[in-house]
Amino acid sequence: MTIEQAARRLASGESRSTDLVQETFQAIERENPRLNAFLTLLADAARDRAKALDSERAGGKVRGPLHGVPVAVKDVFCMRGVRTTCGSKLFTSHVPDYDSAVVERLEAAGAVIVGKTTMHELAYGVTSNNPHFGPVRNPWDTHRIPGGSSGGSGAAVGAGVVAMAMGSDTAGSIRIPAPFCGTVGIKPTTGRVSRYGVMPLDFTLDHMGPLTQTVRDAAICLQALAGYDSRDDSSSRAAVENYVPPAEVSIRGLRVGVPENFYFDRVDSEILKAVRRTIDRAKAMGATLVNVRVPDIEALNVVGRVILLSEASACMTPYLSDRSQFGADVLSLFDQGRLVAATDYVNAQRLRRGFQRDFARILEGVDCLITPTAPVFPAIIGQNEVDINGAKEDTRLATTRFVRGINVLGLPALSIPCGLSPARLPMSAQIIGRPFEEALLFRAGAALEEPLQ
Amino acid sequence: MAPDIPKEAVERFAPGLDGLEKVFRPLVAGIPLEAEPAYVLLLARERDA
Repeated sequence: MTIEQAARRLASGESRSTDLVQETFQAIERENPRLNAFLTLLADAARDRAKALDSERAGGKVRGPLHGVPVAVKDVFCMRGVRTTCGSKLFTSHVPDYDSAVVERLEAAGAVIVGKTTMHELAYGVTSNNPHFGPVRNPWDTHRIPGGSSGGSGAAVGAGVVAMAMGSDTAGSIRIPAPFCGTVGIKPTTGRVSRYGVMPLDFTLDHMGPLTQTVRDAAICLQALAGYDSRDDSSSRAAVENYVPPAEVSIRGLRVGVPENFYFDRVDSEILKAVRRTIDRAKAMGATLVNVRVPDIEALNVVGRVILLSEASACMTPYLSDRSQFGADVLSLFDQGRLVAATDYVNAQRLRRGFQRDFARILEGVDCLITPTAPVFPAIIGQNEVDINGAKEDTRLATTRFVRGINVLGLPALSIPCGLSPARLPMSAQIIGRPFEEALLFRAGAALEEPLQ
Repeated sequence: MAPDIPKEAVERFAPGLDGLEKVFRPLVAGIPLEAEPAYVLLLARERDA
């Protein structure tokens, strides 16, 4: 069920929030043993809150489309009185005494948080194969990874357990589980959604956003989440637009940039066909296709890796003396980060500015870019390599190839489903826009998404 | 100021970082002297101005 469908059921009186919460916990009971999508369940709190929200509605107060709708948040968002582990052994007993801004805003909008979702350890990886809390499994094929690091959020939404689960995205951690689990996912512009109360991985690159079943649902959630927060120094005062597209959405006249280099290289042939079909549909709907040449994205990704290695290791320095607390994959990344020279980090930040200018120039000539989100299908759990048309590539580098650079640029990017492969695995396209133009991305996404079920 | 990580980790990861360096070094060589870092707030400040 989508947020809009839930809101209609609640508005018509067909269901109460308590009914939806009950149904959600039945779905969790059914699905979580096979998916391991939830790390912490908040059954009592959710039922109490649903009752209170039903009373509010009965009294004539409706906060908006999220009023009474069950949702989940990745275990990176601090929640008062609720264990927040960040998927790490270090924080198994960490119980914050305050709410993150995301939790505050979701609750202010009337959402009912039913649980915290499982994730890659410390949000530093793409598999969500967590050594401390077990692997999260893909709802379309439980032998495969759901992507990460917001793997539990992707699996929970992809399986239809909840209509929305929050993720965080540093190098693609929303836009990797979204295509792998068949959901929508948006990484908003830097500064659009407050990072207050989120356990950090990287100060430059961390972004927060929702994973949902439809683009309109993602827009509804961002409407609730977006806005200035004085407690987050990176928060923007830019005006929040009306994100929810009209029912009859048009993209006539939209200038869609189609990269002629990098983004269509080394892509699985089925995914390539699906994304080309989406671009053709955009043209058929009246959009103007413009071939564009993008800067060296391999270089942009290297800049992103230098920044992430450095900042993530700086962030975790106080904890790194006890190496037994970390899984092998994240420990190796933290070690590498401590080998990057400070001069290289500073120069990576200077290079970032150049790439931002290059992309700003490209986005003067077009309204958005369309690319594949992931060039590959999800790997089998435990495998470090994926197959691309018969060639092997490292799972982490392949899955982050088209998404990592967008965090370096700070631009908004929306991942939308664009069909199922013959093997019944989801495929997705990524729509990249100018800073703070998420409304345009939602309009294009609503026109072009292909619901999978 | 050397990082306090085991010697075997340094030896193991040096090739990986060398891989990064092949792309990174030429980029750094091309940075104009007057280029400043791009701070986290850059986008927001430009848009908010």
